[in-house]
Amino acid sequence: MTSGLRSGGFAIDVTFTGDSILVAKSTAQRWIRLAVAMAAIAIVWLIVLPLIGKQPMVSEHIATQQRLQIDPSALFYSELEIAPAIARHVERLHDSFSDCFWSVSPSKDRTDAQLGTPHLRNARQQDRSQR
Amino acid sequence: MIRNAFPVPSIIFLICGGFPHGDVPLDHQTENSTGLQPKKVWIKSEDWLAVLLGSIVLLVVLGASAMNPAPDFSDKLGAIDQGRQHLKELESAAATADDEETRKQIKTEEKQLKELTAGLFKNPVKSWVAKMGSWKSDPSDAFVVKKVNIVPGLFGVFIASLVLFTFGVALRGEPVIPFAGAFVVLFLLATASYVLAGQDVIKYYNLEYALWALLIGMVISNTIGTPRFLFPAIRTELFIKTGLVLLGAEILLSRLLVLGLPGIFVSWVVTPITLISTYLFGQYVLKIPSKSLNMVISADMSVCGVSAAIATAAACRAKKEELSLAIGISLAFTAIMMIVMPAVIRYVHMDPVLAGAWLGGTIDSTGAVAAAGGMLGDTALNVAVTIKMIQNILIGVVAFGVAVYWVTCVEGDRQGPRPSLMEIWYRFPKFVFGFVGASIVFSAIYSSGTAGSGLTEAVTGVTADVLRGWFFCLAFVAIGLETNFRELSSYLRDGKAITLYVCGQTLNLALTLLMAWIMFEKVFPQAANALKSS
Repeated sequence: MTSGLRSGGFAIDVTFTGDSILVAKSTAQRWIRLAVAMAAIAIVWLIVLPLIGKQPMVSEHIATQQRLQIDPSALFYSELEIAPAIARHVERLHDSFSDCFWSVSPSKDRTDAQLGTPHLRNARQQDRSQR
Repeated sequence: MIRNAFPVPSIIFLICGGFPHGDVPLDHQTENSTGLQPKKVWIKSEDWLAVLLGSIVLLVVLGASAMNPAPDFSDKLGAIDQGRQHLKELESAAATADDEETRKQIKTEEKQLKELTAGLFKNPVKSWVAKMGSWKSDPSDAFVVKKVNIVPGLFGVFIASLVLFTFGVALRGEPVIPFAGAFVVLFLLATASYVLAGQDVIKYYNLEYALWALLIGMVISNTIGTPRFLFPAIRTELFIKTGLVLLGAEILLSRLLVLGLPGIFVSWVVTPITLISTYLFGQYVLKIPSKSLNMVISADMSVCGVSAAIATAAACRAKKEELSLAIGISLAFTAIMMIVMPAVIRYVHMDPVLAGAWLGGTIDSTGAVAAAGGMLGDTALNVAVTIKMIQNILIGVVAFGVAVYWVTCVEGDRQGPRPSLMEIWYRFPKFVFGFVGASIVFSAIYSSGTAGSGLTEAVTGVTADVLRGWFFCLAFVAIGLETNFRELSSYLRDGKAITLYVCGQTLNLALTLLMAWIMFEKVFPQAANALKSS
């Protein structure tokens, strides 16, 4: 016969055998399992992860993201602190050079005059990457 | 403009009231027709209730912000217009002559503009709510952000959520005291999840709070069992759908056009192709038994990770275990792609615009896209974040499309006659209206001018960063409390879910790279040049 029992506010479904020791044992086992799981979480978060965080490669990665104000855990673009500034920057570029974004063959003379020749742009880009 | 924005949630409310039967199951309608519970029955539906609660939050925050313009509002507006003009001139100068001094001036001007826009409206709600901070080795650091103790802010979030959802529970005619008591514990578990997610290594490798909220819930449910007194607060769907209505306010449609045709092709053409192809592959090649699991994995892989998974799962009524599994797979692969893709791009010396477009179109999570783009420099970062932003907007369309497809083609008897319009209406997940409606309203406010964009940022700053995140976190704790390890592992046993993700992502990587190359290298090379110019 199956019976839903309540013990200390928690629901325990046990097969009722008439032996209350079984119930107590089951409850104790469950609490031990919880304690073990919590201890594992505590060890990982308080010891293992801080140690990993001290590794040069990881700490460098974290420092770079912090310097760039990037939160990699952002779920949506609106949670990114840098997103509005990037959006406004790209919007301004779009407004200034709208032909480039909408027309398949924009006036080449015009865009070259505005943006510099391809050779100059590539050189500039390389220089910036090196910096 | 501000006045016009006020009636919107009321309109949503009226629309809700205009359909007294809403999405109430058929048995409720019979009860209604006999006059046992005349009217008001629609509010018992979690969908409409989520629309109502989400609208209340948006209305309160919008109203509070709109009534608090800066004392020097007009001066700030003028300064913003002047600043924008100056910035345009500086950027034109930087495009033709690569001057370090000009670039510094651009950065300073951008910072000033950001501060001016943020200061147009003061959001009084913002000081009452807080988001958890991060920590290295001492978890108590998570409760201090920028040297400010955030415990009062957390208490503010707790009170606001408690009042809001207790009101919702009361509207449904359910007992309020058991809910409120259980909610306290649920909120504490959500806080613990945020603390785990705030550890620096976890945070900066994109292992989001959703994963830890699930873990905490599952640890409890799979050890001592979920305490019975917690059941009244396990309102997964209500938390998720209310959060999705708030998310709608963050989807600004005007940003769709920001990268012109190349952006639309990379984000809005490749993404649906990948989604549909992956779903069909899952159905006809892998023969995944659960269509909803197939859809949620296809959507989170092709659109934008966790947020898309949440929206799609709600739209196709996926099981909680399916959502958990999809999110787990997505986060694991995102953490890998975030590190591997920039390394590959550097190794092959890929053009920064092409690289940014590839990252933005393929990495699931928005934060991880920014992190990967940031490793490759300013141009790649700008393009990657912008492409992802455009892709993020697709989430509303995908949720709507999936909801329509599900009620017309998947649910019900496929052998029988096509469902009538009324049948489709009954089955349709109504929260989608709140989600899409909020997006349309806030897009209109944002596009109305400088004041509108300032107001939108003031509102979404609270709803996005804080409240919506907490609602989702509560939902994931609730899912964990209802999830059994054995049930979850049964989905992984045949390996089809992971195979689907890997195959879909491979297609996504190939198609996005091809489309970005065609767009930015062959058809619109001048657009790429413009993006590199400053």
